[in-house]
Amino acid sequence: MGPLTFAVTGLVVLGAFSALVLMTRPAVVHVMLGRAFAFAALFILPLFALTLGVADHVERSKTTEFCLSCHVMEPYGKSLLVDDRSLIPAVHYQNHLVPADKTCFTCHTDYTMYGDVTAKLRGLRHVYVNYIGGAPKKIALYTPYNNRECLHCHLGSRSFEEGATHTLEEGSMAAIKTNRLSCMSSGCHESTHNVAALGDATLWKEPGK
Amino acid sequence: MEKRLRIAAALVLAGLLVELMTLFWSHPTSFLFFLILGGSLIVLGVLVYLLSLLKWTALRALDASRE
Repeated sequence: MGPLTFAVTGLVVLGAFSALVLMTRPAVVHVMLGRAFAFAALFILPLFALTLGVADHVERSKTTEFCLSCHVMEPYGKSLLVDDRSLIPAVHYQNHLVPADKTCFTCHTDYTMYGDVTAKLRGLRHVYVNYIGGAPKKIALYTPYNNRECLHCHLGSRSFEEGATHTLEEGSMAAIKTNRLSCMSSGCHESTHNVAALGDATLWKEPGK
Repeated sequence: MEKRLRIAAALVLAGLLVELMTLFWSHPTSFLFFLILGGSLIVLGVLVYLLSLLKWTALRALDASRE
């Protein structure tokens, strides 16, 4: 349990207890102190618990466990364990190049001012589609993957800046940095979640799991 | 006022209990339960409480004007 969940739990228990007291003894409001108690129990505490609850849920929705809790995402979770160094998600996850507990979110959020909000709104849309419309057979990104998300970590790193293929042709580095040449272009890093070939793949066994 | 307070407290209590249950369930459905069910109950409880406060204040003002 994280510190935020712990704090929200405490607040919710306190709020529930206060509401229970007011429910069983509403006559306490006949004195000034009772009215103050009622204000705290029925206005301040519940709204505070609700606000912190939203923050906790949003924070929890960034975890790998949360993303993979949906059945439709299972193959994508499995693709993180494929024993193949050419697969970008697998290499990043298995070598902790991204935080292992926030793997999906790290690569699939937009690194813009409202990127996290946009990502969460997309998440709500996914829930809606999953329950109301049914998940599509082939899952695809809404827009082509933006290099900005890769460059958030790789920009300035030696392996990227001095990479032979990145600087092979004149102007290629500038094209990568301005998203004119996709990192996922054919012949570059095009191997991502290869869910179609999961049946034949050898999977890495995570220690302790 | 006591009856409205009781209703408000019951709604808030129900909403907080829903929130408590969803806090230990890491799944997109738990977020929906929390927001739609828990959130609605809490907001409704707070509104009933505020309404009872308004009514109580209005009644006190009426009593004062009669005196």
